Amino acid sequence: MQSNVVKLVVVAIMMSTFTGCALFGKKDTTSSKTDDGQTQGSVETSGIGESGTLSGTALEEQAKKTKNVFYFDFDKSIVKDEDQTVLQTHAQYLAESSSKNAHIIGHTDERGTPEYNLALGERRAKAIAEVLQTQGTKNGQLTITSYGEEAPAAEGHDESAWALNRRAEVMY
Amino acid sequence: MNYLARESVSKIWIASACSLAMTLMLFFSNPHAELVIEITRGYDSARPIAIVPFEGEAPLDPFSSVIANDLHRSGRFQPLPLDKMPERPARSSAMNFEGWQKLGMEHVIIGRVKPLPFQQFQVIFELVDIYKGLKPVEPNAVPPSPVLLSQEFIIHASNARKLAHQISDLIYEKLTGEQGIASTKIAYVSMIGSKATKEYRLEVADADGFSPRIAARSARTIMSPAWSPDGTRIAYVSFQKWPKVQVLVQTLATGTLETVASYPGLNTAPAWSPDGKKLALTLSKDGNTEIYILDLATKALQRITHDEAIETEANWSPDGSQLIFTSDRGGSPQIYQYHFATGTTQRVTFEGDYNGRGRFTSDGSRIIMVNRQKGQFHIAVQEMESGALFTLTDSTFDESPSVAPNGRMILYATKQQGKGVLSAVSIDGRVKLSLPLQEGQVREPAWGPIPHGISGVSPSL
Repeated sequence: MQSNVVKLVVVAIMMSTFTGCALFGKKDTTSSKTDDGQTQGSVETSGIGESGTLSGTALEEQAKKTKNVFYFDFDKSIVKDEDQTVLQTHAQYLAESSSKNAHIIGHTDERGTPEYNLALGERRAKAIAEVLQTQGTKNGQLTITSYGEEAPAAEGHDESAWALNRRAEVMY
Repeated sequence: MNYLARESVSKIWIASACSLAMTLMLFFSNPHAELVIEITRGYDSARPIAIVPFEGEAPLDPFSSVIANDLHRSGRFQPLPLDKMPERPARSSAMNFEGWQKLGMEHVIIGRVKPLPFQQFQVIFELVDIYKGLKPVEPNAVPPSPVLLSQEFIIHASNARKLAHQISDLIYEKLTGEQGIASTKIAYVSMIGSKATKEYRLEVADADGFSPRIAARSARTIMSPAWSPDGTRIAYVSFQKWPKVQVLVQTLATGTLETVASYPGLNTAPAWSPDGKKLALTLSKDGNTEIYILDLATKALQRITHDEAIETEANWSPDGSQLIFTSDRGGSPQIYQYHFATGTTQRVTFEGDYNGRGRFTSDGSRIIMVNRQKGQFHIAVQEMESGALFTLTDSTFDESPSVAPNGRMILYATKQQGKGVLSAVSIDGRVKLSLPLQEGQVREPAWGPIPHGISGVSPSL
């Protein structure tokens, strides 16, 4: 069941990439993306808040200050709606130049077998990468890896710790 | 058969706990971080046995106590405390059988050690059957020998423990008809320190947890140790070249390392073919995690799975005809079976919402696995023919089961007060041992194979 939903989301993302339809961009009301936001190297944005149009170092600074840790539900690798929006900032920064790179690392909580969790962490990192790719990031700009359950952010053994460990991080 | 019998600590165990524990304490107390064995539950039906300290064994100490510990840890024998022994014979010809019979002893092990030049020692043991010794003899008939088994060895002092384990196995096999595992090794990963000072170690210890040696150490994660079938190599996952996740093969005798898989993406979950020539691997180089077979000599890759789902944790059947692996193609992780001859795959597990890390027992009749029911992860065993599943453990985060080469005991990782420790449970769930580490976290145990021939120990006859 869950696998089918993930497949549907993945297919939807893939389709939106090909059709140029910004399936998730519509949720963002603060920046106006052009409808053909898939054009490489010429994404126009207006800034978030009062900063106006950003580019270059300002955009880089903004990207680096933007939330870069994204959380997942247990056993799931579906990117949350609100995170799709946040990822746009990262995508904008990366779309500026194809020489810019990001490293996405997926993690899980400690439950389940270490090997399955290594694969699940990778799946989460891939889900984040796919969102970025629908927004202009090129495949070659992203490195995807997984730490599985081996590098928890929180050391506890209860849901509050586990929730903090089920994550993917975008690192520059 | 009661798979979850909660054996209460027997009175004999409590009574002998003091003296036995004192004996055990002597070689358990250790300034270094070694595994410590505690038997938390045992068979009520463990067979009474006495292991008399060998005459002259002091230079090899501990010796007879190692044998007693091995037999006790099997869960099938209950050693008599030293202070209950009516005598300490060194020869079966000098034994008072009635005295032993009164204590309910069926078998007694006795022996003697004689020093030889150049730190060599002659060791002789006898396994004595008390009832045979008491059998009335016809007049003028030759009394049958009460000795079931006897052997003489010449060893160097440094091989004393090795010999003790070998004697344990000989006795175990004679009395149970089963292969003993006292001479086997276990590998495991231990994590020392925290955060900035964390070190990962791949360690190899005797099956009783003693004599651990560090085979590899790294500031970065080590995972999934897997013994080659001949016991000479261990394959494992290393994050040493992060962000690469690679599979390495280390030759234990020399420490030499070969990187056998370093494709883009994950390279993980190594599993040896029964002939030791191939490794099943999980690789995500083609888009997502799939199972592949790597020929170690030619480096040729054969792809086994073609599904968008997570596929990992492959394990070979002992006859090499199949693989089992974990896949969530059905929505949640379950164990599937792939047949090389037909190329077909079918699902094997149906109970619980998570089944993973499947491992065949050495006769191929069962698989042990991690099974989740009601949010709790347990070690479980499933019979291949009937599909019947039995849960063996009752703590909450049990994982990484590894079955002993005689199919009788399972080593696994669990948490006690949040700390990673190793535990063992017998295949029928009755005997439980815990192996707490004094420092750091221990996980991912892998039980080594039966050693072929024991070097340094030669029978003199």
